Amino acid sequence: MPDAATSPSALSRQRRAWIVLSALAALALAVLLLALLTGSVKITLSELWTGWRGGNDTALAIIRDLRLPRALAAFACGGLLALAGAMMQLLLRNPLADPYVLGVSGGAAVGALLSWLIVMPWLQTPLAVFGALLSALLVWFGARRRNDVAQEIEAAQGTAPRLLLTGVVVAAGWGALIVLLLSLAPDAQLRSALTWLMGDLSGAAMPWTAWIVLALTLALIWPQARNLNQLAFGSIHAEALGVPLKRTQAWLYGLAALATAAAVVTAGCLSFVGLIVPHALRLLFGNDQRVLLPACVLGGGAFLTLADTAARTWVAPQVLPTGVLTALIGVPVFLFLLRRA
Amino acid sequence: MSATVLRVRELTVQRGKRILCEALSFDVQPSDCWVIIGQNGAGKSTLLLTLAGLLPSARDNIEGNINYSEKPLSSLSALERARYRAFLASQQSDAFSATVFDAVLAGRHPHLARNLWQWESADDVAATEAALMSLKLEALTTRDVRTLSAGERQRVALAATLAQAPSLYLLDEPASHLDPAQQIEALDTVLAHARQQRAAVVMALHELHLATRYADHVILLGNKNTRAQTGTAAEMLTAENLSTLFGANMATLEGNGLKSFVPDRSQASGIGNQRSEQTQGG
Repeated sequence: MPDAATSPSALSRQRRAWIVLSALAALALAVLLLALLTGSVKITLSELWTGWRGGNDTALAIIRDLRLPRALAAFACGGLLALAGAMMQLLLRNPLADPYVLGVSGGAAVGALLSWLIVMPWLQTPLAVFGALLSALLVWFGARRRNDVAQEIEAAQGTAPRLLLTGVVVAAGWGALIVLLLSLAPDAQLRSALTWLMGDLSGAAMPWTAWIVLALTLALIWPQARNLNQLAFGSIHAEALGVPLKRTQAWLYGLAALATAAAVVTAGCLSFVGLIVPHALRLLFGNDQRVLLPACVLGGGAFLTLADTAARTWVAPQVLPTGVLTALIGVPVFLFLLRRA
Repeated sequence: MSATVLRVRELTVQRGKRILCEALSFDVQPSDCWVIIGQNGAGKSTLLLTLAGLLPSARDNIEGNINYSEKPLSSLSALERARYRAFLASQQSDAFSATVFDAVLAGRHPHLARNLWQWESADDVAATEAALMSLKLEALTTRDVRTLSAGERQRVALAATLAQAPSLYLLDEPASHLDPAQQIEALDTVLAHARQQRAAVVMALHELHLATRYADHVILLGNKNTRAQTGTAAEMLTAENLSTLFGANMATLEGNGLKSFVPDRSQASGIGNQRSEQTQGG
């Protein structure tokens, strides 16, 4: 794929970055608009316009109360998950890392379910964050060989199977805990809990938490993008080039867990978004984190909003859980990546 | 007048219960080329990591002083160290795809402003292109590093250290994976660059013929029973010293102004222990 990504000129790189990001932003806006206009009640652009200016009330109500919160929730969750995926891939130096595959979403889900069972909804976000952090910690220590530099140089390539095994085991553990919690839950709430676990955006109110966390995460990690570029070449390489290794890894770890938890609290365990989106964007635009991180937010948001719109309209009036769609796309992509790894 | 590039005083590195070097002291001057020689597992990589300030101190006991240009290593930040010394690891591993150009451009990272928003300038691009040229990598500029052969990848890593333009090159097996002609070409290039900038090179080498060719000073890193020795290449690189170091009788090969050492015939392991001493100039 010899394209502009390989162009040596630094100036053109910078210009290219802004072109890519502007194009993705335009795409994201178009997808959001599409999500507002499609559904069981078709609304045209002109109706949206007159509704906006105080005309047609029903159209405005549908958009304002139903479609807008849902589309914004989908966008924020997609951005959060893609960003979390990109950060975990850098942290673990493995393009197969993903919050869902490695059980980080599972940890957050257990935390969220727990708060729901003990009827303390205000604990939902903190418990989900705690679950995600714990999960990421388990994967981190399970997948890494002991933090031995010389050993790391020798063994840098052999970590993929170990990482995936650790992730699978951690995810299985959370899965068991989830079943345990669900079997304790009152029957009336079981169905909604199950849909939520599959990844579901139907219940979403205005997703303030998700948007605030998304903005915060991007604002904190984007300025470190050039350091993260070095990390992609290996941790010793990065440290030798002046990257404060421990601090950078701690940021990645904390922010990836926070972003995952915010997405899970908003919309349950949406699978594979963190895998598909960074991978596709990396193929298209290269692995410069200065471009990739914001591109993940825009591309992930657009992807999930599109997937959610499809889930609403595909077999209408039935509404599919959004997570079913992302999983149906994600599984083949993951298998393809695993073959290439 | 120029300051000592690297001053090491009473350096003891302990890994677990193993002492890798004890009370090691030496001074590396501008344009020097120091070569570290030792058996497998003697701690050449660890010593280089220590000199680069990259060894996590938690599990390793490091005592003694390391100074870069009279400044204690411990007083320098990661970025200050990166502007002063380049470190080439003995192996490169690429988890993600990147172009050869980007892999070499990475060497410019410490020289960009602290502001992480800053993009590489025309100067950085020029330094990268020069480094690619000097290691004859122009044809590979747009290739993905993961598709390179080990030897090509090694030259890319060397080019990145050149782009970094340090005062001190710390190279772990810079000649590994390279074919004989490339070894000479690559090391000639790196050393010429270093000398031109009055930078110093400290490298671990396996091939003794490369050590005699390039070293002006040598560190013999012994195993458990022998202490590390330092000195000029002429003093250190003798059949006697190397025999002790490697625990095998080493014979000298000389010819065409070149010199190397190989285990002599009496060393033949096991069957048919030949006594014939036929080693001579080649």
